[in-house]
Amino acid sequence: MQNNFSITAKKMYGKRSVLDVEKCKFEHGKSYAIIGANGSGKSTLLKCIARAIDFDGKIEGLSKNMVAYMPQQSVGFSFSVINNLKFVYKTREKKFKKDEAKKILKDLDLLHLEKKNAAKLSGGETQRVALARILCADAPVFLLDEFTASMDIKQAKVCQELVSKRAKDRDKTLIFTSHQMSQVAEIADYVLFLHEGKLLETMGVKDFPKNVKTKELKEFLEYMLTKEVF
Amino acid sequence: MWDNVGKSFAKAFELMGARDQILTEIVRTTMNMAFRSSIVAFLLGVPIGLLVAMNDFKGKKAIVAFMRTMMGLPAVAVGILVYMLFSGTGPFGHLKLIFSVKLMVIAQVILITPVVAGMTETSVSKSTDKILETARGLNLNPLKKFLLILNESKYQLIAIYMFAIARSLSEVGAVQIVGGNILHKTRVMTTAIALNYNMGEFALAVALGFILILIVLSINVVATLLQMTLEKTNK
Repeated sequence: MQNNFSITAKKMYGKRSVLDVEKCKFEHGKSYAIIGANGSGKSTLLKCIARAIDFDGKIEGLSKNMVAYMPQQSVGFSFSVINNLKFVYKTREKKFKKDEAKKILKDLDLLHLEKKNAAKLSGGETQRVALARILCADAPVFLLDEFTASMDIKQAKVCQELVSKRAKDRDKTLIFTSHQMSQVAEIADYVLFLHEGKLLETMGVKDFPKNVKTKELKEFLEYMLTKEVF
Repeated sequence: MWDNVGKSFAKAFELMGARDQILTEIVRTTMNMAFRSSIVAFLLGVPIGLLVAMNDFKGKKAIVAFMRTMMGLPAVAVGILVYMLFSGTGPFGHLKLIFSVKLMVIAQVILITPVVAGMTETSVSKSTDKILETARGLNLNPLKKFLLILNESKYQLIAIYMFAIARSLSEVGAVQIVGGNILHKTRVMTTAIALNYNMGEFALAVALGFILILIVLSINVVATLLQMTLEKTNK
């Protein structure tokens, strides 16, 4: 089943506009990186797609139960790691596939923690548990907000490869935000640049970062380069 | 003064050792009232507190301010109000609940429910935002979100229940008015203490106070053990 969808969203906090995008389209089975400075509206766009917040506008072609959204500050629920995954199967009204869940834990280097209380793990471990839950949810669209921000370089690499492979193998649409341009270049098919809540540029990853058009994106990338984040 | 305190300790142990029938009856009535009122107040107050903490709505700040104000309800005022409602001439007089343990429970529920709701809202609201955002991402329905928050707040809720039962055990103003402190019927530890104080039986009053503290301590020990067991199983 093809799940192309589009979103038109306007979000205000008081009198301040934090997001204003018109008919932003997403193609089924593709991977999208949303980039931009802090406060540019990246997380808000993901929250709108996940319908985690109210907004003015509409989403066409995507129902709420078709997304699995991982917020930037995910938490571990205070039961064992394996039961965190079991909980996801239950909420999705699917039969618990223990082998599949354990394989995901193994791939994310969490198998040794399967019986530990997920609420008492470190930041990086909690983020991996949250990612494991999203993978178990197995929704057609994955929405990941800075999903490797609390991880070390090695773990981040493993996780991004796993997510990318799973999305490709299972024909999922992957939409993620990131401040790591290497991650963007490695796993995205398309790059969306948000600036002050507006979508200024969309490009295929082949054109990124050489063929950028807008002054704002050029400046943003230069800044990232000088900070040696690239 | 210390001599009197010593005498009171001795009296307390003497009463407990002698298994005094009246004392046993008073303790039983006290526990009966305290458990019933604290459980009902807990079952009413926790969902109210959680629902307010979990949801954003117009007027939320006013509701929270109201809840916090209600936490300071004066026990005597509640006692008088309940008395007026349930006395022979009151609108609920036909229920014939005046001077009964049932009415003491009702008065305490009115008194303790806002405390439970207010404490639940205050202790849970800080952690709910992150949990709810994660829960929304997994597309949980409202009931599952509620149960999840309930599970995530279990340690705070045990502490809140402890406060509720301690408040019930130590309350005197409302139960004195609506219960009437009738021997063999509605006399509880706190009203017995007040009565003995009024009669000048200070040693007996303080001795009853010690026994009351021992009861609260025992309940606290059980709750702490429960918390520790939960933590162990959740490691």
